[in-house]
Amino acid sequence: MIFPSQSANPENFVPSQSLIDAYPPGTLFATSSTGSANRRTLDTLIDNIIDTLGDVEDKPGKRIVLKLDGGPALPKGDPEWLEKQRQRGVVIFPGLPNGSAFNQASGRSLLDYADAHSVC
Amino acid sequence: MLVDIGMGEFGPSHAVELPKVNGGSHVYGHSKLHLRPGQAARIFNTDETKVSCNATGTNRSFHLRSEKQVSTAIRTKGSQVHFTYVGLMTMPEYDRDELFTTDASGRQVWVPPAEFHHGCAWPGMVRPINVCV
Repeated sequence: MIFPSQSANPENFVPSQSLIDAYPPGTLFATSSTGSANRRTLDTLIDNIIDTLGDVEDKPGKRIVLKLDGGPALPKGDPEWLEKQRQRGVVIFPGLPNGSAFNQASGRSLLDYADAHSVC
Repeated sequence: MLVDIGMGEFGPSHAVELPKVNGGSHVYGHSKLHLRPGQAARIFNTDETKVSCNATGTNRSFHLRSEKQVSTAIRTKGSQVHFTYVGLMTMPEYDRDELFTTDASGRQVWVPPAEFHHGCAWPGMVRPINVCV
């Protein structure tokens, strides 16, 4: 959960216990100047996934796939960052920026659904 | 891509049936992809939703008002609540028998059976939560 902050050092945000209690267990908290995800929050997210699974390598069966919407948090112009993620077993699957409706549909086509329906 | 990186194999078409939030299940469609057991939990689908509110009585303004930190006048735009939720969903596993299929080079591949495990979430699932910041 990312909140906007006017702090000069938003990375130093420490959530209160009441805030932690208000969210589902395992929720990560961060702040940024705009309240949107950025490179730092994305790195934190990936590190947390790897720490939680604890079994991520660039080998068959050990990799993870992270499907993103291709928004501002994704460092598309940084091939070194992308290479670093791949080397540690994190496969980035970018979607259309600001295109949640399309990306959800492409998530289904990723599985080659021939007849997709909405659920719930 | 998932087949290329060793997370599954293509085989006969099968129905993809997922649980609904309020019980029961729904057939999403049909897929030729057969993920290897456990690999479904390694696919994360993230999305970001920004929530804002122009109402005068936002959670935040109510909270601050109760603390006597602000007046009860109509809130300005600067007092709106903005936050971003980054959701993580793992793709669900689903029951299926063992599969005998072939890879791109024509070699026969055996894909072990898989059992459905309820993940943290699945496509289409929305879990509402009430918060006060």
